[in-house]
Amino acid sequence: MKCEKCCIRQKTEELHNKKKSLYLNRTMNHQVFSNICGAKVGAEAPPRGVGLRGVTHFSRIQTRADREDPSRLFGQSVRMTHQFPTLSEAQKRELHETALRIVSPGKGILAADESVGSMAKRLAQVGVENTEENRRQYRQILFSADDRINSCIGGVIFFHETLYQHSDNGVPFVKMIRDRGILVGVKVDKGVVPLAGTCGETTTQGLDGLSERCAQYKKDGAVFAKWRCVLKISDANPSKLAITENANVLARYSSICQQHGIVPVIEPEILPDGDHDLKRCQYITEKVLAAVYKAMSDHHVYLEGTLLKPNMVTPGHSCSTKYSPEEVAMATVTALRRTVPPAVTGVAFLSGGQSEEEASVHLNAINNCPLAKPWILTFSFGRALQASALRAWRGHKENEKAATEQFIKRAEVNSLACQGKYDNHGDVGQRIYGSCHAY
Amino acid sequence: MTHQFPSLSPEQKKELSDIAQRIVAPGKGILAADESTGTMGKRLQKINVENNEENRRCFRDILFSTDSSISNCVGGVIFFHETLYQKSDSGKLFPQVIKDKGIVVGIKVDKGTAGLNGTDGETTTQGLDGLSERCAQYKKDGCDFAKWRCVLKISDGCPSALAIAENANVLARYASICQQNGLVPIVEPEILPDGDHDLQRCQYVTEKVLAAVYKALSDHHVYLEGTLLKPNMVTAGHSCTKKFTPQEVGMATVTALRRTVPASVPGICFLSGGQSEEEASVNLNAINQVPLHRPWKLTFSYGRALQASALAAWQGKAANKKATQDVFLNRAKINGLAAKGEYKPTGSADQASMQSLYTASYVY
Repeated sequence: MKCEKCCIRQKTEELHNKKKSLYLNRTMNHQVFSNICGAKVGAEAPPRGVGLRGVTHFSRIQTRADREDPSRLFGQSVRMTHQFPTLSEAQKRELHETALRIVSPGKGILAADESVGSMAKRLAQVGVENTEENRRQYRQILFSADDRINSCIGGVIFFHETLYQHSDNGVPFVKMIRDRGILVGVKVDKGVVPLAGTCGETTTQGLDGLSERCAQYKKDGAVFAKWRCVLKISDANPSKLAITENANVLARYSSICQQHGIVPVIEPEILPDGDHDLKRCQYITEKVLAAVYKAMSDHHVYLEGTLLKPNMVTPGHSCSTKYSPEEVAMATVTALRRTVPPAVTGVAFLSGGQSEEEASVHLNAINNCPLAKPWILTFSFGRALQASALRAWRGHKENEKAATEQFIKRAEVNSLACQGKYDNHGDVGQRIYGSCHAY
Repeated sequence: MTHQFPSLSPEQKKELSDIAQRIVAPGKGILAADESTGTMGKRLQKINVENNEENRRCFRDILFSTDSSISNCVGGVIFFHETLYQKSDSGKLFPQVIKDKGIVVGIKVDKGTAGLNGTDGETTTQGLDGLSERCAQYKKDGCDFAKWRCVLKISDGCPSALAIAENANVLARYASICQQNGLVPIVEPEILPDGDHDLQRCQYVTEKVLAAVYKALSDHHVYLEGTLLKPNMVTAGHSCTKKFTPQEVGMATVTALRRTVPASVPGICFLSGGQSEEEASVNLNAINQVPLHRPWKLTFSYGRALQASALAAWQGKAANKKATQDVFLNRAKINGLAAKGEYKPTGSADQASMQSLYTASYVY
């Protein structure tokens, strides 16, 4: 069984309860139980002046005797520990719980954080002028979806501008989202800049003053953030510099976010442009993710309080070989199993250039892949959730309801897909995953 | 970055993966019987037995000829080079004796530690020269896995960045070479328990070391599904005044592993370090009961923690053979249960098993 509250798998209810009582005192609730790794179990932080300094990552489990006499904890001096504690137990608990809520079973992320420039491209496709008002109206279509999306969407990523916009009725978008129990995130990077001496590769900027911006976003309602790095595959790429530089900047961003109680969504996107095959993409993805997690370790990032937003492993757009969803799934899950530590709470795939249906079918196959997957595997889709809605809208007020319906439909499909329950009319028959040793 | 140059064919990968899975099949672990000549000397001295080749052969013979139910709890045995070419009393080569029981044969291939200049007594491990040819020969002689031990220690300045990077790199080179020759590499980055550091410090250091190990394995294109990890459990230093429960040891250990060891690694076989037989079993059991998701097998690769009582029972006398085997089989069964989280200590462990097996700055 998988306990819904603490997301821990146990063979039986009995075993679950038995283990829970073994490791915790009786007053423990499920939320804290699930954060036992690194969390001081049970209580608020000890009273001021008592053992706060240096009580860090993992402290011994607090017993009843400790709560009666907190000075016992003071003796737990950690003068021998070289680590300089980055986060308190309470901070870790908050981050972990937030991450778990975003990727609760059946839920994923709506990436509605297109920058002004990106929105220009989207709106141009449906003949709509790229004004602030039009962008507001478009986001309103998504955010006014009814309660059906509450069980499909765990978090929405906002662009800075949208965070401060309101609906027609004057309700702030942030409030509309939060009031339905959906978490608010914000894109915090400032776009890509070239890496001189490389073949068109980039890093991502936005670290300056990031700490202060995060503090402000937290006050304004955001509990998670997103930062996108971009890599590409070609004969010479990605270069060692591009991999290390982007991994490093992602780790710096993560570290800063966590200081402010903001869960960092880590996005090292490898573009699907090119004619490379599935194997090449898998190989590159493994190298990139290994570098990302080494950087996370070096920067002392608390993995349980992060989410990963990677590309699925797919062939390049101009690759002549076609691959089944099961092959995409095997390659993707294999790459993740070799690089993403089990402590990472969830993996929410980007859709890249995939169509809405393709993205859902792939996500579904990934969740049905027979290899053991220790993280939640869900979606963080932009275009793959919005394309039909955008087309239905075309900027006309009278199409708003229809557009919202399109969005809800995609959200529901992806909710099924992230549980491996999306049986589309196409090919319900055999799902042949093949031998894992070929990957 | 260029196209990958496949290091292994799908058939080679399948072979390695299958071997690894067999070694860490549910309820099974590894008997580390690879003590070097010098180390065996220390063991035998404790029971006043002379350290000659015959005595070493004799003791291993007793262990290896234990009743075949041993193969329900032991999936692999690590040999020392000398032992690989010795025979049982009945004239059969030891690797064959082990294989006939359905247990996988492994071989220690490193050549001990060497000093890292400019550090505070830190080391790397040597043995890469000609390793490929040696692995090919060992494979012919019946081995399917290998072991290589690196050593790190905790103190004010240690482990240093150099020690971590150098040992991670040498482990990755060794692993890469083994896989080319059809041997599953057991990767052992041991962090010694010497010192007065607490549990947190050990956890922190273990996380840093393992992160470096897996980055190196990725850089060297090692096929993780065809490897095993042999780490220390996360414990407080031996001179730490604070005592921690098995549950705390379990949590710290599993947390550290979840943050660093990819799910594709099939099994983690803990070394026992200086722990007594009973301690090692109780801790392994607690590790297997930790209420966090553990995607790899968590089992044992014990030397002293499987053999201490047996050695004490033997005393070098042939008449004690059956008693020795009974004691050994008992420990193996207990650890087999602990590897499934099903060990229930009766509360009356005998003295030999509770005795601490710690010796300062343990060296093979």
